[in-house]
Amino acid sequence: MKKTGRIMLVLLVVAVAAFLLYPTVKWYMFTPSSIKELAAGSNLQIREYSRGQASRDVRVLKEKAKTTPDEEVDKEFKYLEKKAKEILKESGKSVPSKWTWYSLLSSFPDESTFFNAVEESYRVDIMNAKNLSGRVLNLGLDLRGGMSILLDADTTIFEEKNGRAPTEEELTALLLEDIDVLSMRIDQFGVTEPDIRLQGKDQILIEIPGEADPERINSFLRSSGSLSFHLVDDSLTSKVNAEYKKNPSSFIDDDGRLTSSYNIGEGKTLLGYYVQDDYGIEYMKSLVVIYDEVALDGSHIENAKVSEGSTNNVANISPSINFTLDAEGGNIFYAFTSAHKGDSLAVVMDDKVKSVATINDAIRDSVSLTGAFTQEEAQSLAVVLKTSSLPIELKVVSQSAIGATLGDDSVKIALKALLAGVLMVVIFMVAYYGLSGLVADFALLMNLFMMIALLSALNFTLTLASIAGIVLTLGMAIDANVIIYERMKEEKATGNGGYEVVKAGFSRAFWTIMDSNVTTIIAAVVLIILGTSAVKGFAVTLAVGIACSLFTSLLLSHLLFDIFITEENFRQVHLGWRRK
Amino acid sequence: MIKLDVLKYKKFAFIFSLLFIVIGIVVFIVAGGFNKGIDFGSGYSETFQIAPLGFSMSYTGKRSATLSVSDNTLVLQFRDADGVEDHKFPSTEYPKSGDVAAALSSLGLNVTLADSGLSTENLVSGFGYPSTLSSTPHRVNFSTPEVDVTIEDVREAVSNLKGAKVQTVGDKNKAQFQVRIVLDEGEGQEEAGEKVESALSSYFGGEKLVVLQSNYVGPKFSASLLRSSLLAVLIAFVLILLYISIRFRLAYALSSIIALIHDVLMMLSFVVIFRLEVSGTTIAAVLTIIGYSLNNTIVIFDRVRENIKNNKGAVVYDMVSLSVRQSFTRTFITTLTTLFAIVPLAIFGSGDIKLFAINLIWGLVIGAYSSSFIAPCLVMLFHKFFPIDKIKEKKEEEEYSLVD
Repeated sequence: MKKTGRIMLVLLVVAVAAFLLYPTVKWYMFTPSSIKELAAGSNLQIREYSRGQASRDVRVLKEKAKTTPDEEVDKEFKYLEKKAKEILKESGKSVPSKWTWYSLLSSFPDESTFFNAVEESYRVDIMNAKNLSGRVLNLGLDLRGGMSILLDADTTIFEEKNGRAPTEEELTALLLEDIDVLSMRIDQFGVTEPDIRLQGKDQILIEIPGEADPERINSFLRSSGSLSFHLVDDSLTSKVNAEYKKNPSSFIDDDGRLTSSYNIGEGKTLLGYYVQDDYGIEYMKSLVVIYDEVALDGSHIENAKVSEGSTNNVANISPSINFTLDAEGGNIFYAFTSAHKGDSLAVVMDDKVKSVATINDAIRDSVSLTGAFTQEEAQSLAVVLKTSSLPIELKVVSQSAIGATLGDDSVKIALKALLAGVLMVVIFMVAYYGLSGLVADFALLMNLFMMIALLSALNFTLTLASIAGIVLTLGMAIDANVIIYERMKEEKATGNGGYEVVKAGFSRAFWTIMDSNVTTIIAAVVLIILGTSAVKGFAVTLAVGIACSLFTSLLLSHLLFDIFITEENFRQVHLGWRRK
Repeated sequence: MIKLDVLKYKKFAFIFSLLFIVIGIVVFIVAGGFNKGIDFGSGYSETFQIAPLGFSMSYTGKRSATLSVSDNTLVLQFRDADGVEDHKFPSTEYPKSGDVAAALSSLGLNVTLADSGLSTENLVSGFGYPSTLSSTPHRVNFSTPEVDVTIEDVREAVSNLKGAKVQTVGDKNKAQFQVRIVLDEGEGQEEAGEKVESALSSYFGGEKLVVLQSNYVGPKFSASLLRSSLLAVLIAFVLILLYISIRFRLAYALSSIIALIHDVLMMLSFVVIFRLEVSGTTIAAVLTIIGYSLNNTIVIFDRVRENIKNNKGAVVYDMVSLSVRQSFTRTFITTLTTLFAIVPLAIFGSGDIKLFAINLIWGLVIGAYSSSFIAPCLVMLFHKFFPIDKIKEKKEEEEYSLVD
């Protein structure tokens, strides 16, 4: 390869590495900690926060439009102009040249559109931060404190029921259902959002960064979502909803919660009807007035399944949810549905209405819910119906929790050790190899830079084990340069000129470096595939580090030598401080 | 160049290695196996600190209040319609626990002061941070230099628990300890945790106990960890054997694999003789050394191959000896620089990471030794059984460069 070509390649690699590193730098250096914390919260918390903020802003805006309608809009609310412009253009109205409080407010057709626009701006900010956090180099639980729990399926109850152990496929399917249920319960859980995923085929891994209180996870695993069926007051519901459309902010307080200011009478409760929007965030679609009296408790539900379309009605292709009740529940439900034919029934979970259905017939134990829901909505509702108990019981296989202080300490120790190690290696190389040592040091720092960039791109989680991996790789990255320099020394001893020394040194060391690194990569790859999490993290850094080291030693160092020592200038290679 | 004919010392090398491994096996039998860490032993461990209670606080107001710790500073965050409101209590501004308590009290929290004279720079934050404050009191503890809890106290406190082991962790004056217990049949993480905590609470007082870390490993997990690790090593060996057989020759492949097995045995003997804990990180260390020592060995073998090719008719013995000599500086410097990187971890680190670093330091030394002494001697040996295939040797590429 020609020199210019190699320079271009190196610059390209540096540019790509910088690009990959950008989100991590942005996250750790330029994202305010309050946004970071919000982004770590559950979608519901984000929702609540945005609604609260929006509700406050709407009040401020309305006040401004009333007192100073002709003044120009403050900087803080400029973002609304774009949305207002869109709305005006869509309806064919002219866009004002100067935005005043009044013109801004009046371009929105109603208050709820306005409210949504304000809320969206808050949500988008945090959701962007949340997105960003998924693309950066993360700190592992051992470094920032937190808790990880590995759960195994407890098949005893399954075996009692079915008289046999579940097959591997059945087990995986049941555990996936468990994960859905546990994810639904997230909202009731502390400050940060847990990461729940299937590990292997028969285990569930839950990781909660920042928080380390095993008590919490215990209650989280044991708790069952409170699910119940309630009768709906249909006439009052439609009345309340009409009012809500007109004036949404009067129903929501500053904390983004429903207020109970509207008088609905004794024995009834006003609840929100929640569905999931496109972002996977639950949002309140409308209001529902239910009777406090529980028609049926969720603990009677035995199983729930989604079936596509209904067979007895060809026109109706929307999915239905079928669930079965136990004997006692069947009796209660039969008595209830016979008495309330034609009325509506609400499925309520944790004070939120998840579904409203009309009672067509008296039903005993096999219930079918039909409605205008999509396949996904039906799926999630089936999950809701099952939350009263986990599809398959879980038991803790291993648990580790690390308090924040201990995590903090280990970050400091790891960084200190990393820095001390790098510094010693850097000084040693210059002391031993003179100016050439400087080239090796530069290659080493490039190696570190490339490694971190690649690990960020992989959205890698940095643990103590992987920091050890980085430290080790830095030691090994130097090795490639040592091999080359020792070769160069031999060449120099034969009396060759600087250019020949560099050329021969690199070309004779090539296969040595390749062979020794490829064997190490083989070991690393096997560990990545077969190792357990800590070992895996270590192996990933090792493999990435070796790949980077091949680039920095064979290409970058060689290029640096070629820039300083050319065929024409007869310069000598400095491989030490002694002049020979 | 160092004038050393390593092959002369092969008897010493073999005897030293053999002796060390035999001692390892004897200790293994006498002491009844490895000093198994929790990953392999299954059990429950808890790291805790005994520190006086500064104050406890609860909150019943309308806003949502979160108490967290960053940079050893308490941060109280209110969140409500007016956005986010942070209050920090750095020890420079609030030197005593009483100062923080008064400040928190003025912010509308219900604070119950227990000791107003504790230094806030010694904040001890364990489980439960960040904490969403509620009507349940949240405890804030601070360590003092004169906590006189000794390891004997802790041993006495947990003496009734099955298989309890106590050790000091971290700074000695901080009264940080780790307790490990053996699990009863079918005992879960919850019961084990409660057992340890109630034993400690009744002895030291519940409000003084701050849990820093806890680990639970069920029997099933430890079994699967060992299985998967052994499998990983075996598969890695087979693949490495294949690669070296293709790139070099079978004699080299066999020599390097035997040298690797030697390294693993030497490391395990070291761990057994010095009663170091065997955990997941030990496996990581062993695997690292396998990769590292192999790296060293390959570099030397590369030289052997080259020298044999370039000096047709020379005695194999001389060539092997020459190659080790030629590579000696490189082996030495590489081991030294890697040690530079690892030694700080052994000095500054604690717990698992310190153990890992100590294992690695020994492994690095052993790796350099085995690739300079054991592996070349083995190659000599195998050369007798598998004579050089001249035609195949010629086909190998000698030099290559990414540069034109």
